[in-house]
Amino acid sequence: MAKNDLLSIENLYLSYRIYKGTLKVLNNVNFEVRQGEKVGLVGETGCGKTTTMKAILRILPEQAIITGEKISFKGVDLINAYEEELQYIRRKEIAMIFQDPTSSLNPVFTIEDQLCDVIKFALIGNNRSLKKPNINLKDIAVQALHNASMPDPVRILSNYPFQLSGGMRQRVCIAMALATERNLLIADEPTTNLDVTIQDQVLRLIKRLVEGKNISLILITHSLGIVREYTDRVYIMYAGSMVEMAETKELFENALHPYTLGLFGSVPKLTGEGISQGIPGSLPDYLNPPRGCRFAPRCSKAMEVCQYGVPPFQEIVPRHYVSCFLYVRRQSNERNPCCQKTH
Amino acid sequence: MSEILAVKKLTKYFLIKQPGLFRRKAVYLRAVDNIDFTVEEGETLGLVGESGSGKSTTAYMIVGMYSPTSGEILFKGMDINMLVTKRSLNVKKEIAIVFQDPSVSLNPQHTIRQILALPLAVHKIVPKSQLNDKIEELLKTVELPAIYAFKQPRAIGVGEKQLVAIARAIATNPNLIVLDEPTSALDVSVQAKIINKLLDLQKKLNLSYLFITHDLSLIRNVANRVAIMYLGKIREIASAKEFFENPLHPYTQMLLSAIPVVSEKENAVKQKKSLSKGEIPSPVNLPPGCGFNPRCRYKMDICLREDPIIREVSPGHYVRCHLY
Repeated sequence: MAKNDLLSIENLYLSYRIYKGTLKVLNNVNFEVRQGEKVGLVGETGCGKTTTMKAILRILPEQAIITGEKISFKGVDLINAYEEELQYIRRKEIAMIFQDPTSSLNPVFTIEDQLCDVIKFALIGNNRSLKKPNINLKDIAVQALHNASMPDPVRILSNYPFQLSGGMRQRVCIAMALATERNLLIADEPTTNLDVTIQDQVLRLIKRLVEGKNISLILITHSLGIVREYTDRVYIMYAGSMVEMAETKELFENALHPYTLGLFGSVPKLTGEGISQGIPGSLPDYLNPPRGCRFAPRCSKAMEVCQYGVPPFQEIVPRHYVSCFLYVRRQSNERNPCCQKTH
Repeated sequence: MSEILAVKKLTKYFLIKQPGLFRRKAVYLRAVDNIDFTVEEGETLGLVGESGSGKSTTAYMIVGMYSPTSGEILFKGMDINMLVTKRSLNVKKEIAIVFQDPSVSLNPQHTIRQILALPLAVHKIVPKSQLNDKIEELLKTVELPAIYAFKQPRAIGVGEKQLVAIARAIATNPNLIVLDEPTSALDVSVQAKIINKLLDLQKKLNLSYLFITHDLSLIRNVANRVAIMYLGKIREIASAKEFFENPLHPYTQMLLSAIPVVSEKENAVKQKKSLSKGEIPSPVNLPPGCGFNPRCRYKMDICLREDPIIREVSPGHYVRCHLY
């Protein structure tokens, strides 16, 4: 682990036990975030982006079994942490913004109730034996809403979520997440349900806030365009594993993994040059995932070795990691004789 | 090319509150307000706008799910300004719709064979003895294996469900298909496949599309002409090339500058950053004058007083703005 790592995940495996068998969802996830860095996590629906984030906060359902090597946050091992330690991290260190602001706010409480609850939990925790705090929660709440560019924050406090528009609700969620000091903000598809102009406003707000306070950001999205404009480094995820990681500029100029290339081809472009054929097939069944590379059944460049070997997540170009046998071959021809038979 | 669909002064108000003891006037939501457009044969007209701008209401009036408050809908010169229950079978056969979310628009208890057989039986497209062959052929057209006829929608992927919905739409050999955000529930890699299939079918079957979406990058690649809606009114109509290279309405400029793009090349054609501000106002309490004035950066005095009319600025390029 490098010195300035805030969060690092190494070889994380996660599965769910269900009636039919075991869903092997996360498969060897490696992920790290440095202090003050904006990291993008891109992947399609069901590839395990949100699950990875939930594993960090340990807010997974009971059936989840983590068999990873390490999730460490500021040197604390989150896999074997006690509940008290996790609570502390949820209170003081990591905040999360969820995808749908409508369902992450409680419809029967006012914004003030919900916002003050969060601030109270962050400042003094759940301990009921403590006396009433000597702080004015409402002031902090107003300030938080003000920071989130909410017009007329005092009036908003007495509103219920249904009285606000989608963009305003998401601003409330952002205010909630950043009302107190944090070190890491996880934004889980914060703008998927919003219109493009509102999306623009919300993302600029998030960027301004995290840069102003030097907070690290994990931005989960399935839009490559968003990642390009708002992050420093990008992970591409497919079927529970990271397939590619590079700095944003490098990735957008020189993508290597066939899946990343497929994604780039599928995105409709403003230049109007038409859309490629997309990626054939669909996500593998997590009950019986492919033995080798999980992308192999959909990959146009699949080789024999891809069917039974799991490609390592290797640095191909400096600071550009790819998990694909196409690039392994160049380096270690002799050690992998199976690769030579193919094509 | 001839017009296949013409919409004239189409308006839909929804009644929200009845007049009563204390309220002299009824309160209406103006979903669609006096819009005109045409769809030519074999072309794709893109209808874009933010949520709440009245795109889907327009689509539902065209297929007859809502009856318009006023205005005309002409299909091949015939007036079809009525609910679908009153339309003749011939008209119903010619207009099909594909909805946004295929998980909801396909009956979960029916097999795909049943789903595809219904329109074929209602419109008597093929005799009963050839029904199975026709269904097989339809599945083949959308590149699904024939075995899928015996599956239920829940057993197949969401992209495949949308393909079934498309197969159902083309079952009656329609001329016009209304596509109401057909890919917004799908991932990009699946979206690419569906869009290519749709463009393929258009060429093969000479279909006209009314393509509704909020994704401007997508509309750049599928539409021949683009109309942009805001608060129930069409603000700008132009050919796709003109619309993206020379947008005139301040709202269009704002939308185009807010799109996140994936390459430098695209950034070059994108509009210069005009910071987006504000949100779409409620269509119940419309701002006076031009509906866009609270968010507009070129706001003038006249915008607060008068609603602009739609003018032809250059051939085929219509704008509703006081600036022009």
